[in-house]
Amino acid sequence: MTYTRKNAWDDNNGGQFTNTDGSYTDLYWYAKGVQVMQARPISDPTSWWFYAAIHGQYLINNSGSGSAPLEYPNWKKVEYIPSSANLGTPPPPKQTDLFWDQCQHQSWFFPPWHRGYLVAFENILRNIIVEQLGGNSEWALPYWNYLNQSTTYQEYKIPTAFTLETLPDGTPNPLFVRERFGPNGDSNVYIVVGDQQDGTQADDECQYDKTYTGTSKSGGYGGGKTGFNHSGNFSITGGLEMNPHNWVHNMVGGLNSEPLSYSGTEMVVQANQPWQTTGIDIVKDGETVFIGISTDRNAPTKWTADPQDNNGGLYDANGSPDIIVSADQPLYPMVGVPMGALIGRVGGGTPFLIGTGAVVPNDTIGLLELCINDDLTGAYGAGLTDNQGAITVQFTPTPSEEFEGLMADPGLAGLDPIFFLHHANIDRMWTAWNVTGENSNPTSADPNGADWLAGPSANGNSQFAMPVDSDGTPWYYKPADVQSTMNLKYYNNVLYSYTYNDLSLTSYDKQPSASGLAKRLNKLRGINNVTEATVAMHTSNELVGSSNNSIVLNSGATKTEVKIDADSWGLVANSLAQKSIDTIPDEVYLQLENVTGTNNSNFLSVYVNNILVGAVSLFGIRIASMQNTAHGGSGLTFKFNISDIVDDLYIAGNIDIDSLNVSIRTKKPLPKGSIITVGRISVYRSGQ
Amino acid sequence: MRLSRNSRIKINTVIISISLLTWVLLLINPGNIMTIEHCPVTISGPSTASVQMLLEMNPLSSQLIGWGLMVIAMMLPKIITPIQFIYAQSLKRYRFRLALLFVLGYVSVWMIAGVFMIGAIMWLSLLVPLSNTPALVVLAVALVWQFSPIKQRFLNYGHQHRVLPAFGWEAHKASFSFGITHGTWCVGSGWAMMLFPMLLQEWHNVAMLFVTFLMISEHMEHPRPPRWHFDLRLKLLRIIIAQTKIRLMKRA
Repeated sequence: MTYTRKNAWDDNNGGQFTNTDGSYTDLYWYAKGVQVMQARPISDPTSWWFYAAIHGQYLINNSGSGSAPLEYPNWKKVEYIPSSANLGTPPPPKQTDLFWDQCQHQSWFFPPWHRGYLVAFENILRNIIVEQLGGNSEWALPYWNYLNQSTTYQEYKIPTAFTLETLPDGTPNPLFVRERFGPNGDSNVYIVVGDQQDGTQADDECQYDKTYTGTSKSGGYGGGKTGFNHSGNFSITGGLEMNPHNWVHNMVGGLNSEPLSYSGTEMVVQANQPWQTTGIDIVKDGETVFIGISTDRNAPTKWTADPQDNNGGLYDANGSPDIIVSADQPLYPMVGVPMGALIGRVGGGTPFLIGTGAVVPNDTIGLLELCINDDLTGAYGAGLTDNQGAITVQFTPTPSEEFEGLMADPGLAGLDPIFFLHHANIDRMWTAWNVTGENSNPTSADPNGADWLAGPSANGNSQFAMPVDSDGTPWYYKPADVQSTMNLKYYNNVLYSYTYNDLSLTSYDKQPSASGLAKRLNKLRGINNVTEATVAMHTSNELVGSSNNSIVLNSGATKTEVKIDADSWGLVANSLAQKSIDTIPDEVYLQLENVTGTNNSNFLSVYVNNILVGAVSLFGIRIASMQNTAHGGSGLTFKFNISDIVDDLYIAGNIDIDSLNVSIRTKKPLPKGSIITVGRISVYRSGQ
Repeated sequence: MRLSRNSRIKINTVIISISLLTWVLLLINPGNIMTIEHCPVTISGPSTASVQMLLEMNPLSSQLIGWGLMVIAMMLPKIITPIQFIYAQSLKRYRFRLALLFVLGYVSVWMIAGVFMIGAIMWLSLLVPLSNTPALVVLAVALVWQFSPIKQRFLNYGHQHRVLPAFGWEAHKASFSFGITHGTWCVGSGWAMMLFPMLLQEWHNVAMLFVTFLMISEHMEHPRPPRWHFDLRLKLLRIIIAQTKIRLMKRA
């Protein structure tokens, strides 16, 4: 028997509990099965709560999460968990040591571990559905393909069944979770698909990756080899895990932003007008307001205060890259900051710099006004009359406390029933990558392939284990057992097969983004005659620049300078000067090292010399920053290939630099009291 | 960014070679630097005279050399990971000397600990000369320490790889102080285990090898919450067994 996992929208009457003929959909049986699992206490290994804790938990001081926090996200503070879960009586340490806190992230074990987790979960649920509830004996876990471009349903939205408070039989719907806040923190849950200016859209570009195992330069599809050491500096996240997996976790979970009347509202600030009112009254010591730049690609977000400046080009809300208003021009609203920067004031008081994002000071009262930092009265020349463009800003209330949705944190995510539909989709993508994409998982012929097949125990770590019954009988498995969905080796070596009714390689990205050595060489030589070239095995990775100190991020943009070491940078410049296929130009990487904090649900967009180089999701940062976990408290490390920017510097004749300007922008304001620290920003070359 | 495979292999080879050479030196034991020679003790116990005689037979300087060699032989393989980390985090021209500064800081802590430990050994050999009792007592203490939450705490600290500044004096200072802090956590977790072979009258070298294996192994384990945990932390053994199995299966 081969079970078929089906689309939660298309094959469930548009994400509903009942079909048009009145019969129940897979989603209904899922909800009923979840109800049964949730009625069991946490001490039962087949309970909902036990299964969620297998992924991660904040309840007991156990391996994985370290000391459980006393307040939220401690499970005892999670409203979704009813008292019948009996959290006060957890399972014995023998079981929690074996089963809990197993989730594999920032690791090449991410795809196989989650596959086994879903298979064990699906079997427990099917037993309940068939034996206890008399449901469909062929039931399989539905998947939520948020990247599906269906014209029938808006599949980027969470399926309707997850938004209803009751089931058709009138009982509470266990699929409905209050602690699920969505990308805007207003409980409207959907996945942001389609180009965003800050690069934070979900996509399935990873499906075009041709190699499973990541290297020091690229995450690969499945992630980098996970040896005995798993701290932030040694782990490599694969493409599938990064986006869409991490992205979707954050967008679904989100951060409760206590919506106010102006939440998410936008306003266009014109460059050629003085102070423009937002209509928002700031109340002293009241809710704080964050002003950010709209991420809507169609919204205007560039302007200039002087068309003669910046070679006539418009710039963003950070203002002119060349001109800082000097102190001898006091009739500008602000001196000592860039001309043309976005600024604000409250109640006509002292202006403050906004740039691409800032929290509005709430120590005074009055109307919030915005404008461009320019000669507003024409005291020194043309004033506002020659200004061009506009900036679209967005207002978001800053949450008064840290309150993230369950899906945004690996220690909570398994509690939300949408988790399993999200992971069914990730598993579907992995299956399609193998089947349709004709790619291969690591094999014993590959270097280190045997280590992947044998699982973590090849490097002395615990093997994967899932409870298959209420006694806690373990099914031990390794990646070799689950590398295919057909004839997968389940408990007691019973073969188990399932498939998906859609194994298209991609749902959204229809072609891989152009990249590669040929493109680089053509660009560097200014010709177009290199048609095919593959990246050679570079032999050396070397630090060429670094920030001086650690950087504490602000809400919105934080700018810093990364100093470049002249001697090491000379090698990069030389390699670019040679630019032949035989002497392949260096690749240059920017790395954010040891990023620590607790704000899982945020995204960081990173800019070098004002050019976006990529965005990252902070999913998992809380656990990775805890000292007693496998990460050793070193947090997360992110890497961006910035060779393109360096190539442009070379072509423009500006390769001799002594620093790079790096700007890191948080997508959402930081919750009050929450700190994100970047241990160091470094620049590496990878070359011969 | 991870070091290239070649760089990692080079670091491993150099460090393990130095460690092995030192082991050979220790096993040959030139000038008996690894053995405390005993003097007769009167029934009234250790006296100033007997201490003086013991010091004449075993000058502190030569004992410290022996201790230093032992630290290098036993501990160098344990610091492969932080040295790889320093190499990856540093400008190429600084790498070697920053790693050296780290080792210097690290060994200094063990040398300071050595003064106290040699003192303890001498005192015990005066108190109960030619007896294995002190070794057994220390073994019991080492076992309690081994399973204790405080030892786990030290091991967890050992996994902290701080971000290092890249340039100038700051880079050098940070590597040296990284060595000192890493050494402190190492001494904290391993002092009792190090003392045990030093007190044995026989099987000293075998015990040292066993302790080395145990110490390398426990530093390879992931950090975990500090609590009483009855586990010898034999990760290295688990890896050896698993990798042997993989290779045997490949051959089959």
